[in-house]
Amino acid sequence: MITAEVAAARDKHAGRVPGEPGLWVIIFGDLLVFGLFFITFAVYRMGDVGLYARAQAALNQGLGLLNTMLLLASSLAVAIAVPALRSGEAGKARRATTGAILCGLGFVGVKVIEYGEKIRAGMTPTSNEFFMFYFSFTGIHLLHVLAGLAALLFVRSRCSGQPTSGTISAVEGCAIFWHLVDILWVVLFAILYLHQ
Amino acid sequence: MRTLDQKICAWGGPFCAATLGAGLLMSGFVPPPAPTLSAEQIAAIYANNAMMIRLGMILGLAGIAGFIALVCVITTQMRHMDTPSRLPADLQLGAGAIGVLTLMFPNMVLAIAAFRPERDPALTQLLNDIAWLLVIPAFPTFLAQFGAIAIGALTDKRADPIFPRWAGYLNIWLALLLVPGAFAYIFRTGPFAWNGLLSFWIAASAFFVWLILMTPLTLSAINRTAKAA
Repeated sequence: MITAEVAAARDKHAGRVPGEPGLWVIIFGDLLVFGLFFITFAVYRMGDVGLYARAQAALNQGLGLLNTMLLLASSLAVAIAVPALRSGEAGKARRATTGAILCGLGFVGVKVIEYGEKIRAGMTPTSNEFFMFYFSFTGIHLLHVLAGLAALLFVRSRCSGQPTSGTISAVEGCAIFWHLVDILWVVLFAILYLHQ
Repeated sequence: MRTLDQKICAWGGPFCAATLGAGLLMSGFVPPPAPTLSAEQIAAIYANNAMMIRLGMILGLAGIAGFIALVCVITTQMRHMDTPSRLPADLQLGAGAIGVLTLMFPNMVLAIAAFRPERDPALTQLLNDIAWLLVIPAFPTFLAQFGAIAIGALTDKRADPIFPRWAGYLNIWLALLLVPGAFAYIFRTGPFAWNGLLSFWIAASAFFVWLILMTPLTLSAINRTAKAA
């Protein structure tokens, strides 16, 4: 026990990369690309602020906020699941991951409703620049959500018994990706729905 | 000496990047002419630069030979991977070989557009549309090819892996950067148009980074597998 604590303390000082180091190529790569998306949006927006403000008013802020809450809740659930799995509480980890998956599915459902609402009202990707950005950025993000849900299903399948260090590393990788999906949405929500 | 053939093929990456890049630059296609230009404006571009475009496209064709060589030597090395099956190596070769077509045909169509400057401008515009809408949305083969490299790199059980794991993740990321090009079918302006930030600049950069990056990775694999043999 004491040795484990010493090892843990040493780990703390040495610094440890969660997941596997290579995975961070994708995480930072994705952040870089979405960062470019946001700069592109800002630059185009400066060209016609009035149009962007009018189009933005047509978005459903309530559904956007609901989706933000769903993803934040699912991120919290994943943050509960990973330490639970590490300490051998497989049941707790599985329940938390199931919660995270349900929140993620909820996000997808709300997004489908929102897209339907917009398209029925005649707002499509080719309507104007704002909706081009809205549909393409949230669409690319939605693909991330689906990939993340697949990763969470993998995590859930590993929630039994005492995990190996390889499993922990893979699960951490999936959790990191899910947090990425979450943080990207928070920024998307801010710039598409809220930014005046 | 035994590995000279493989090493020559591996250098096909930078060779392709240099010649294809030079060909596009001398043709004035960096970035491509805007999709919003009228038929007359497009026809004027081809009429005024006809010879440079034809020569640039010949250079581009030469460069594509380098891409084929790199694709093949990557599979030669991937066959050394300890993967459950040969699928990653085979998929890389198959998808890469088909990817050659989506580079070569647009290149040829651009040269055809420049071949007869006196033709009806509407036809030149059509050829220009065909060329750019062939190459910019052509993500599927690269998704499969880079994805195959990623699967191989991430499932390789060798003690001394052929490609490092980060290269696997990087291949996934570079492949995904090519996907926004598909939106070039829909938009004539903005970042998704065929001359836009995401469809052209980012996607083309991703492809050129891949060409230049896979060469040292493959050379390293050639040296290590040759030493082990």
